[in-house]
Amino acid sequence: MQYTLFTDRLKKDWRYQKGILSSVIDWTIVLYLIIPAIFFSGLYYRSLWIDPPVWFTLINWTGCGLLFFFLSLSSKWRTYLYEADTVYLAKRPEWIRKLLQSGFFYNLCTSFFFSLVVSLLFLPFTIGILTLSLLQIVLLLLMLTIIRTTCKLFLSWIDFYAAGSRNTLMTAGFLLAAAFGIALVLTGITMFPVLMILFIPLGFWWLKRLFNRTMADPKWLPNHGLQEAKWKVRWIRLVFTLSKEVETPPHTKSRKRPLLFRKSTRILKPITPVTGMLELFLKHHLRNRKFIYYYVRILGLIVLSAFLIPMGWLFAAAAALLAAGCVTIHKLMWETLIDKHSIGVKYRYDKSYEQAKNWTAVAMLTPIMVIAMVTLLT
Amino acid sequence: MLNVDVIEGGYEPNDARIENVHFSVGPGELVAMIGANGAGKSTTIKAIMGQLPFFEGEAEIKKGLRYSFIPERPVFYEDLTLWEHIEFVAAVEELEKSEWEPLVHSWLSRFRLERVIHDLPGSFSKGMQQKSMLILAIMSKPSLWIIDEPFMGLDPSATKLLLETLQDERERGAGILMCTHVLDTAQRIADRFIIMSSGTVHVSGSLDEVLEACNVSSGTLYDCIPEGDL
Repeated sequence: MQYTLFTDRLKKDWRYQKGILSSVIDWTIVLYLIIPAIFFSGLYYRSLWIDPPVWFTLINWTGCGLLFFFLSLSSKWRTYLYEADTVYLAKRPEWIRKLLQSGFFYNLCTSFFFSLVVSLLFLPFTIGILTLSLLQIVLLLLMLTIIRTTCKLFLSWIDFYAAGSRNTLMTAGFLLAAAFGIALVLTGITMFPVLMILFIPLGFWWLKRLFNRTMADPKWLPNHGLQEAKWKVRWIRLVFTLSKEVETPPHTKSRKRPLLFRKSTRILKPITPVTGMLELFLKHHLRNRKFIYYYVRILGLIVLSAFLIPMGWLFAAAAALLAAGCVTIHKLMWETLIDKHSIGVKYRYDKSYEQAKNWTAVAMLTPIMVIAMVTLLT
Repeated sequence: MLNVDVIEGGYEPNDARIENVHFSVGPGELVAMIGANGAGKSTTIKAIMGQLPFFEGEAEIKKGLRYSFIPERPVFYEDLTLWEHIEFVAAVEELEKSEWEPLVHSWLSRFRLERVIHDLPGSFSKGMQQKSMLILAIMSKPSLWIIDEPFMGLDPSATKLLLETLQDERERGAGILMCTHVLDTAQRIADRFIIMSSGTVHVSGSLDEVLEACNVSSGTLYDCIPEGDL
């Protein structure tokens, strides 16, 4: 019964997410974007097998592992426990325990699948350049699964356990320890694969123990429900952010005071309409770094393009595309604050808004332009 | 100050949620817009605020007029502290620091919010959020107030303070458009009433005119709400 409940919830969630995605991804996007992207990526992947590029030799093995580790941080632990469970399942603790166990297994499976995809993508490098054996590749896959599951588990739990600076310190400590651990594991796999076999059962045992001590603790039950409710609407939130006609959905901060500029310290002086707008933009986006992450990813992509795209005209096209992406992000950053916000909307036709937008557009586009120009000229 | 001439408006094409809504708000006047849930009050306010995607007609706040809008559900920038909200409004409204600062501090003290000025309003209770919205509205000394359900979440002392403030604002010459479900309070303080039903104006005018139009001269506003809306 409990397992049926979990699978029912899982299916319901998939159907729900599918419904949201199908409302924005129609057949034209599939036909003109997704299928060509898969086709050309497939061709490129094949070419990596046939003729491994020279830059493969420049790839740092530990760096790859750390890249995977940082990718693991973006995912959250799913329990499929609802807020209502604290009321309706309160008298059935064994049901909740089974749901949590199923959740553990589910998270392990999704982590395994993700690690499998990453391992397959890296095969031309791991087999072609590092000449890893099948045993080493399987070991790597299992290790990656354990690492990703641990990251998901620990970072989701830390949000329940600690707030404010304590949360930041614990997260930073975990990240450092885990990064060091992964570097050791990767070295171990290449140098002592047989020894590393021993670490696999140890890793799973430790993971299970960590789970029982953290997420499986009954006192976090209400937090699971809230976390799930937030996670469930992640795609809707993204669609809302991209939609012009929908007001920015408010989200409640769990912390009482911001971490940065705790005493409402001003960044820009004197107080004028333009500095007022800029102050709002800076403080909001420095404290809520969702859009900053998108921007940093664009910067990362343009730097990567500078190294990977050999032809000047192709790089220029890629840079133009990324600059267009940056303009879109910049537009969304302001719309969230002014055009689609109940407080800001009345200032949407103000001259100060236009001026502030121009300033921030220049600030955000300048690094992209500089990187593009330097790359094209050299 | 505010002239509303809505022919029709809604959230999707060919699906009008409000039709033929005509009224105005003059200086020093308090106009109460009342009606059941779904009668079209909030949609009308959205039309005035320019937030209705499909709209035909005119709903204009006199150009250059300073106005304050308090939505039904308090909304804040989730990453700005209360004081930063205050400074933001002061900056974009170009308010003189010597004027707004004492005024804001006096209101913060009256609402007992001084201790939380560096906190994020998202962590406040509903009543505290409503009070914070009121301070943000009051500080710019607007000529026009547009308020949606102002009494929701306020404790009795804050309600009393709000009523006194609205009275002071009227005496200062500010026009007020207020949507509310609290009929007895509306009946007591408003100059004119707009009773909405099914997206249109059911009846409007002064209390006597409204009651007369509803054939309940000795009744209350409650008797003017159409049967189907009760």
